[in-house]
Amino acid sequence: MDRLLEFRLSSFFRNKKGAEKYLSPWWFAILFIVAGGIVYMVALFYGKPYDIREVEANLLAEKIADCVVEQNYLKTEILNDPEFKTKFLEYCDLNFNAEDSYGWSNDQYYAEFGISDFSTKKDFEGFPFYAGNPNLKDYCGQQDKNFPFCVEKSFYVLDKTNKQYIVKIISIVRKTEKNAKQ
Amino acid sequence: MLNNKKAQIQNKKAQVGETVTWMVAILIIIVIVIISVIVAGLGELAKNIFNLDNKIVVASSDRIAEKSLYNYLLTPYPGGGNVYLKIRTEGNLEEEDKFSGELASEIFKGFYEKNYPMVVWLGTGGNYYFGSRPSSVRGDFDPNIHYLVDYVSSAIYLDENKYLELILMNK
Repeated sequence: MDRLLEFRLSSFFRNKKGAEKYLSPWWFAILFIVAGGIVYMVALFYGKPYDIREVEANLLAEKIADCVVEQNYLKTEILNDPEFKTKFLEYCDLNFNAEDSYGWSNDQYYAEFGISDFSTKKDFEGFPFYAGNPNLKDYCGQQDKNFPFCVEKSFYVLDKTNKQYIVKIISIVRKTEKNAKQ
Repeated sequence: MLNNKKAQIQNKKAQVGETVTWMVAILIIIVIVIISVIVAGLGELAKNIFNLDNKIVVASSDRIAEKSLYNYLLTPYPGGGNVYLKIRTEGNLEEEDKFSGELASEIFKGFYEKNYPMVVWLGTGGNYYFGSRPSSVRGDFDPNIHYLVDYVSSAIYLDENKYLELILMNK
């Protein structure tokens, strides 16, 4: 009887040792679950990219406006200097190169520059002209966030002889994959 | 000998209890983590609860509209001077000042009503061409109301007590 009891007790004793042995894996499991949960929650909450295309397109338009205006007056040479049109990006210190990702091939931007007489509203010869990917313009007016973002801005400006002009700038930024990820 | 073994059995029972406690604890932790993940997933709901996305009248600037404003003020006034001097000496855009008023309407309403459909206003106060100054902007802002609008305001000081203000508001 004593032997049987002793056997049962020793068997039970070994099981208990097992329980003690497996306690630390529970600790690790909790650690990983909690850490994984926190990482997942943060990724879920902040994982959606910020859509900065509107800001980028506005900045592009402002940069072009600054490029053609000097001390509040229109640079009149832009009307006569052919290099302004042919080397527009260099003239305004712009760079339309996009990041080497998502298969982009520097086709993510479009800028159009027009200038017309304030009284007659007629465009000057050779204007408007554009730089960048002209296909993006087809999407303007669409409200879907998966389409490129368009900004159309006009402003009133004088030259140094007080002649009045209207400058019209269209700037478009695509970069949909990076800004409008689902 | 037997007493020692009884004592050991009791210790084992304590270990069983501890393990069961941890198993239950881990289940509770998993449930809490799942609830937290679901709440985090309802990001929009959380943002609404904490009002993160609501703009409370965010003032910004539109540098392109400012260029129009500066050039408008520099425009020569028939008879001498410019629009700036005219407004500074004679006051607001009233009906009789057709040149300043119509030019302002053509520029600001013509160019900016599309981008700022809510309000396009220019003046030193209520005037014939742009009406009364829009409320709920600088000076009479009610902190209890969340305005879901974006507004642009540029002010040109005319003298110590008077300034010409351009206000553009978008939804």
